[in-house]
Amino acid sequence: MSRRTFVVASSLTGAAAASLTGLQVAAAADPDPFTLGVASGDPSDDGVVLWTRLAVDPLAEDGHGGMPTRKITVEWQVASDEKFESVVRSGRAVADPAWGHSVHVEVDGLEADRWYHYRFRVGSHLSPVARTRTLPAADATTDLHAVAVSCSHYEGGWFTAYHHAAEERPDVVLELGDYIYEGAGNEDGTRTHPGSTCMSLADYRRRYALYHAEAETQELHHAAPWIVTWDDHEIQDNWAGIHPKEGVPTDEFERRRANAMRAYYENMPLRKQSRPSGVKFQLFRRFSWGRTADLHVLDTRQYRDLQACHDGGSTWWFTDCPERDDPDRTMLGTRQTDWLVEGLAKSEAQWQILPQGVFFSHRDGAPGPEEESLSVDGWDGYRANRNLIRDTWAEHGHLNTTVLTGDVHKAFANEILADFDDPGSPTVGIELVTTSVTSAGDGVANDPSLQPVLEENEHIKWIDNLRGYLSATWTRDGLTARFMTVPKVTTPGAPVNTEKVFHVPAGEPGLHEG
Amino acid sequence: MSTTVTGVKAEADVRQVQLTWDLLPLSTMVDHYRIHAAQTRSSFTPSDDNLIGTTIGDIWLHSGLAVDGDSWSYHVVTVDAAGRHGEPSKVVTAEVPRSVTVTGEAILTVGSFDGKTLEFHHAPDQYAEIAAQHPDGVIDVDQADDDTAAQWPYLLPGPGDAWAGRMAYALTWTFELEEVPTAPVMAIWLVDTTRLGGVLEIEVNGESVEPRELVKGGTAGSRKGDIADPDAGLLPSYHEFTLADGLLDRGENSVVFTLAEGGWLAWDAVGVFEA
Repeated sequence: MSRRTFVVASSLTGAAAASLTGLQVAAAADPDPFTLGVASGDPSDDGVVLWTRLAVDPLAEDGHGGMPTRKITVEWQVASDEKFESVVRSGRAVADPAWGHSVHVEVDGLEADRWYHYRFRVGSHLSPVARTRTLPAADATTDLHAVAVSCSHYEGGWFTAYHHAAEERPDVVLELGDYIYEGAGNEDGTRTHPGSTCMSLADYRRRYALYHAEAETQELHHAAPWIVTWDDHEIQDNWAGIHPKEGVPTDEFERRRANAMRAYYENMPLRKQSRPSGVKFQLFRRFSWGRTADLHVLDTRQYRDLQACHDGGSTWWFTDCPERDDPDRTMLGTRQTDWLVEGLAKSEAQWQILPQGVFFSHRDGAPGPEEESLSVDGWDGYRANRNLIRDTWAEHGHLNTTVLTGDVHKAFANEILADFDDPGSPTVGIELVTTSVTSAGDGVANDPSLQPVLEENEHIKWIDNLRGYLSATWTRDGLTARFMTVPKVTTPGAPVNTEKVFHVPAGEPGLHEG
Repeated sequence: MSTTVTGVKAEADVRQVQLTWDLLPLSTMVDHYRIHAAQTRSSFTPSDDNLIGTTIGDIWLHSGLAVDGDSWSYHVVTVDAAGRHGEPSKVVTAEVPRSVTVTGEAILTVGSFDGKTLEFHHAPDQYAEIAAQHPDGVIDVDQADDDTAAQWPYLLPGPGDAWAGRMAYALTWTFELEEVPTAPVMAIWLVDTTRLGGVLEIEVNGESVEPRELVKGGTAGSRKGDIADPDAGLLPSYHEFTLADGLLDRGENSVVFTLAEGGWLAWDAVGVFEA
């Protein structure tokens, strides 16, 4: 293949325009606009989304990353080799200030089940080179090796887990929510968010820039395509549908939601179909990993009813709350529930994987048989909707169902029972809950406070309170789940440890320690 | 689509001006609003130098203004998703009245009208002590004791405060008057309130007066006690109102302050003045 010249067509003025011929070292007058790195996501069997967001000063207070209020042309290339001697697709995109100078390129015409390299160029600046891949062909039975991450609170510490996850060279990264945290700077954290609570689009853009500028974040984005969904901290702690944390819908919260949705889209490798319009935002969607697995990515925030027994936002655990059992209460909303039920019914994939935001299995926090203390924010607060989903996959014989969850800042391995009220009922699926990347700081190894929850909930087989990520491989024979931990996040560079391994044989849902 | 803000209204009161305006619809690309202020009665050019705040909402409290009254003018400007500023709103002007603390004569005061909680009990940040010492939400303070402020807790907690047992705390203030003022004015200055806002109910000798609505504040006054600190995040607010004839008595008087709704208030000072 002949070497293809990377044609430069930039609208940058001044020193940048003068340096259009060939590569030059970035000068102070011509700073590097790729401080936020690049990313890819939402693969198909013939394409993928490529992403970048231009910023020369990530933490500029107006949220515009130091970029001028002007559209900027960005060149992109996809190659089958690292040196870009075999460029297979290329083109130009426009980084528009109205979209925070973010760029989303939907590449097609690629081969199924292949790795590619990609990069961007603005003026004389080349972005980092990153790896991405397409999905296997529809009839392929390729294994799926994924990592799942969530709850990467900047103030909790360093994103060491991202680095170790990248080193595994996974096929895909599943992001299960709380990618950013919206709160005001807290001086008691290991690190401190600059600025106050995110409310405006400018605030959220600046917050994403802080997180994207981290070296480990870029390392993991550059390693594989990401498939993302969100939880609450992309907008506000425990928001639910149209309701803010305090429970009462307001015009201001609607505005805040619109701002946060736009900032999320601008900062994630999502397709056009997910571009928000006001407070409408299409995040739930499906991916097929050949015949091995269907991934039904859920949105467990946008269409929710208000949490049951809402008390203005100070307690989220209740012992006596009959409202939880109201059969009309929904977590997913009607449209998403119908989509999921139909997808589970029709799927012919061997494994059903549900990447989603909040704790799915029953979890009773109160010891003893008499009392129950249940979370109203997790699926226990929306039991009828949860049970419908579970019963649907069970009725259609999808015993190879894996629910993937984040949110709770601890790792859990759960067997999903046909009936949580009957501990003797059969297991119809597995839930793997990844611990947080950093939220809650270093955590505690072999934490004794977890024992009562294990005793109270027989279907919960293992809990851990260190930080880290989840690594999982789905094959024809079974699922292997590796819970990976790091001993510290309050200091950088900690090593990784395989804390626990579980095997789930295909067709026989149940967690076997291995 | 126009991104010029309309419907700007300025409501002036002692030491503060509350601005409100009409929100632009979500379909415009407006991200947030910039509020500009100048001590003048006419229009001015909005700039970073006269920016007093930004918000995504439709309300702004400009507070901590001169005790002696003043004229303030305002423009509200939109910022869109691309970072472009819209045309400034038409100017609105507010005449801030003078405080009774300068125009009147102090009859009886608790604390100093100085923007600080610091002279009050448990200030600036020992709020847990208030809950510990008043577990039933009842506080009694007698002006006859030497240093009234030193026994008066710096916060009055309310139903929004889980740390204080979610109760409407009631503080009963007893004092003696040798003579009843002919034109009594009560002044209540607050260093801060919470983001919940709230309602302060007041009874004078058993008779209710108009409750005071508490602004949504900075939620910092439980830990910071001086509005002169620019990083403290406090939002002071001010209430000065006449007391009807016959409310106050010669001799013993009792005023009950109840935080009936919302979260705590942080006291700057309380006083009765002859207007």
